[in-house]
Amino acid sequence: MLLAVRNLTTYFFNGQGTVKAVDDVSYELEEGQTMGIVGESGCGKTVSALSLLRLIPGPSGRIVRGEILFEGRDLLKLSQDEICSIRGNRIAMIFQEPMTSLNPVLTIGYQVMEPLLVHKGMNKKAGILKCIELLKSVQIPDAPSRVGAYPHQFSGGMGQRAMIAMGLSCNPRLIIADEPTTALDVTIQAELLEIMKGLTRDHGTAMIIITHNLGVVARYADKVMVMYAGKAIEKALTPDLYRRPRHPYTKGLMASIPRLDQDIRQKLRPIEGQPPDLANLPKGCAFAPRCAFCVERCRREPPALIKISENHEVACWNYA
Amino acid sequence: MKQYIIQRISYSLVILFFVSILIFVLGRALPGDPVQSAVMSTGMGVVSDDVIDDFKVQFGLDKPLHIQYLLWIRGFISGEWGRSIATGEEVLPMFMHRLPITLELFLGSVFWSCIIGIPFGIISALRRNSWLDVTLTTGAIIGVSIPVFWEGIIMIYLFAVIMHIFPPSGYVPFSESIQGNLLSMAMPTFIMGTQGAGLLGRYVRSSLLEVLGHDYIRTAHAKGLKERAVIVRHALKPAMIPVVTIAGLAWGYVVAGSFIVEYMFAIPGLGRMGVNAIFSNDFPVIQATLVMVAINILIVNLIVDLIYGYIDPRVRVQQ
Ligand SMILES: Nc1ncnc2c1ncn2[C@@H]1O[C@H](COP(=O)(O)OP(=O)(O)OP(=O)(O)O)[C@@H](O)[C@H]1O
Ligand SMILES: [Mg+2]
Repeated sequence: MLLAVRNLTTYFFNGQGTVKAVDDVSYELEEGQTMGIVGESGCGKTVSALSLLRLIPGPSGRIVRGEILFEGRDLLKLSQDEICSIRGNRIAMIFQEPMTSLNPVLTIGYQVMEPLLVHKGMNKKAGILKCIELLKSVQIPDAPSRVGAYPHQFSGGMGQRAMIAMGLSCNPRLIIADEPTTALDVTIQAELLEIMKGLTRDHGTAMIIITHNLGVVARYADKVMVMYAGKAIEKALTPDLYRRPRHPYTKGLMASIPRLDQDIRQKLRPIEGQPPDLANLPKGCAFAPRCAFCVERCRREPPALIKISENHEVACWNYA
Repeated sequence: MKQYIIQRISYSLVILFFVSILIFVLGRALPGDPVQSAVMSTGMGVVSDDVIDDFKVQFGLDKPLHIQYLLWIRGFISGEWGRSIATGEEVLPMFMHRLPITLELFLGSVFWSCIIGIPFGIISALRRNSWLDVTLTTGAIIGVSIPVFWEGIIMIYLFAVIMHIFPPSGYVPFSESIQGNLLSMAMPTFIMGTQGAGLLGRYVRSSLLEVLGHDYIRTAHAKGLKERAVIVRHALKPAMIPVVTIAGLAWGYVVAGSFIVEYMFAIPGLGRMGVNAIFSNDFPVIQATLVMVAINILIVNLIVDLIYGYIDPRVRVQQ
């Protein structure tokens, strides 16, 4: 087992109250495995990923509970220096927005090779050579001449490639790709995911893909975790989930994506209603107010995840 | 980069042209007739119109305004800055003599501003809302809001009159005694420097705080950089971009402060000369002083633009 997250709970404490951004989330990941995290905007996907690297912005944000066992060590118990030696080295994170996630006053080359300088003790000369190699591997054309370029000279797609190259530079065991592609058009998105998938397969790197896009998950992830209002509400192997989604929310998500084999006269059905305020969650199931299958118990008690088959768990009273 | 520099320099020249017209016009529009006062200062009492006309011819004041302007500019460029009406001295040597003194004052105050202001800004940004931050920020507000002359009086009283560490006023040339020179300039430069330091510190603080909230700082942390490396390599450079701009804008205040400080500490620099010239309506000297102030500010802003281009690749490198 590469990664075991147990009861991860991350809150933001601000003036108005406590934002329960990630609440009691557990999952496991094997070497080389790819997991997708899906859910609506604001459901806690990014915060759960940032928690793994202890990058929650303080002082309001705090991991209040949980264990993150990575290669046998609990990341939450490491010293500041120890967690620094894991970030970018053993676990790399690729962020949503390439253009704001790259430093505007430093060259692409320096930014891509920086993890090598920090973690591998490489000198700049060797770093540049390795950097060119990395930029080639993410298919940036004319890589040697792009090393000295600045982020504003890159397009969004090229910037994202550079981010991927940066993430892969130290050959990490786990890559977290937070919505790697939403800002990009669909063909570039597909291209980038292919590149990333290819490179991680070659190196046996495990991956967590965070996205809204169920199509991406279906194609690239071995397993899926569906999040709603800070909680994991359904976890399954990808084929199982797509064959038989169980949670009403997951079913809703599936029904809201367009399909090629669908009759075009049939309307897409978005999920009615708004996700709840994470600072002010309902007492029972957070999805209850929007749920067509809501029973009395749903409003009273929050459901826990229950196993309904070997590789499928769901948190819903309808299956209890 | 070359193109950028050329562009900046030509902007400066255009501005200088307009400023020179303004100075020229102001010189003529100012209340008080320079010819009258010059003639008066010769002690001849009330004089005939002939004498005044002679005077006008001697100083070229009989010609039409635009010719006067062109003559003035031509003279200025060729180093003939005219003679002081009050003392009859050549203006250019008067300037050259005093320039190093004022430059020393400027450099000294910039030194204090940076040495005090930048670390203060960085520390209070990193220790935001701690007692240290509150103390420093309050200190900065006091530093900025105390008028130069008041700070000067207090410092002279404390360090010169009571403690006898520094001379209360006067200037010792560098060539005469290095130690004496540094001692005589310590207080004036420090007073000007603290004014700048308060401003600089506050801008460094707010700019650094803004930068620390950017996504790319999170990226730097995610790479495994230690806190210190994140600040030094990823945050400081972009944080300096707005600070440098502000420093250029604030330079005018520094120049204005130098007039007061030179007068107060009896430093025989350009500021003191300018103030004296204004009192005696000595308009060749006033004009020359104003032009030099304008050139000074333009040069500083040119330097600021260059630093700006150096820091920010978006300015330097075309798309
Ligand atoms: N620094 C913060 N301070 C307070 N609340 C925060 C902070 N960062 C995130 N949150 C809250 O945590 C919740 C989860 O945010 P998160 O960024 O993880 O959502 P997400 O699932 O990644 O959404 P998206 O798909 O839009 O990226 C949100 O409700 C957000 O308001
Ligand atoms: Mg997100």
